[in-house]
Amino acid sequence: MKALLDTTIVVDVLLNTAAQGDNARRALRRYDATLLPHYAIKEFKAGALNNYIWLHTKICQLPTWAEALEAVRRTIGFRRNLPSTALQALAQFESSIERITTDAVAARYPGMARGQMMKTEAQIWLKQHIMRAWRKRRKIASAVTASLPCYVERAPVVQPNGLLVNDPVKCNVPDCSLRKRYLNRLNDIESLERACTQVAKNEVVRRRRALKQLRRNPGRPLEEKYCRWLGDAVFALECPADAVVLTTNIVDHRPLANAIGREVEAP
Amino acid sequence: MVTEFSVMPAQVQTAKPNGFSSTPALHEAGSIFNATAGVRVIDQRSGVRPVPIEDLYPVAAGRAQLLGTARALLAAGSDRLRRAHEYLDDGNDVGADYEVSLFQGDIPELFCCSSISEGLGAVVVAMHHALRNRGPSPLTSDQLNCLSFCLDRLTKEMFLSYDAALDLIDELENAQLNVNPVEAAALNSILIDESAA
Repeated sequence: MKALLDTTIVVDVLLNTAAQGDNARRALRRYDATLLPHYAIKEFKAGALNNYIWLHTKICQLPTWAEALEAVRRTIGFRRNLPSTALQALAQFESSIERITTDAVAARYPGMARGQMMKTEAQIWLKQHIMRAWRKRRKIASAVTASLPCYVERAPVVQPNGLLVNDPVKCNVPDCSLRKRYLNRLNDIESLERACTQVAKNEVVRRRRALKQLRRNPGRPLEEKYCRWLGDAVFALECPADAVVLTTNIVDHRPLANAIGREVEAP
Repeated sequence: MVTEFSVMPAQVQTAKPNGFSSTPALHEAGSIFNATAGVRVIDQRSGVRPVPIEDLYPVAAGRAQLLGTARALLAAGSDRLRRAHEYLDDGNDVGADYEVSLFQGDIPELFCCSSISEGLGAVVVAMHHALRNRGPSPLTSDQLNCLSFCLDRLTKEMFLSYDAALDLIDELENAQLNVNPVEAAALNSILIDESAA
């Protein structure tokens, strides 16, 4: 059996250090072959990896770990409720090296004042976590499939000032390569479009618009935003007949996959 | 070790805060003796007065001390892990774990030297969490081997490339050592969920 990995799996395998990450890594071993669509790499870099890189930047620029966490509260917490237990655990950073550093040792290193050590450690850990995740991205699957010729897959770059630059996260081309790729899949596109009518979520409404654009105007250049809006539909379209879509987001993927005769599985 | 130089007072004053002196003799001496504890400057008019080398070459001297400390800590750590191996081979699990624990106790100071190189810092942080996350369990022979390998590499190459450091961290993970802080799970619940939102 083969599995096509969606972005939630890629993120869990590469970045998630909790139980979900272990589950995803274990799940990969269930299949004879695992396929990683290029689109998942693009979504991974523009999504979760970009968030980690953003936090690294905040840690670099703010004087303390506490202020970096405050930036998280004010930026991400501004839009949604963040789990207070998670924020508390991060603020305390009980496993940090600073917690076991004696005053006598700290006093000998002026650059390692209390409060500064946590920031330095978080910065060092986060950077290696980001860079190792990027290095491993193509190794987690048996093969990378459905190459996107318009997407430049470039590693995050370390600037001389220590900040990581994550460009590009978009293709910046006037016509997305997915349009030509799906020219002969218009029936499937229509089925996916119908599957999207059952849900009123913003993400699904946008996906339906992108599918409609592809179906109605297959000869017209497809803008970048439509590529992004296609989202989960790409995984249904890229899943071979002898494979399943492996995802943690069964709810969103199942109607799409089933609409064109594919199945989904959770880790 | 104290070294004597004969210079005019004006020449001493020309030592720059960047650690280099406009005086050739001092500059040259700095490159040779920058790890020494101090320099005795012979003032030709008022006699001898000691000047700490940090005052003459603040950056170079501070860094040299850092290098010296890191080198000593790494070498000591390598020795401890080698002894831990020997204990393990002799079936002395307590002795082995004790040596590992003593090495673990030196990690905070090693971390204080992490500005030496990015690679060093990354591996030291990974080793800290690898050892912390093992909890009460002793290291297996494979894990000890892997830790020794990393430490020996750092001892030989404190300035190892960042990529090489990431390779070492991969090795630690391959030995079933968890190199991530436990709080990283909390970070996932914020940053990964945000990307899915």
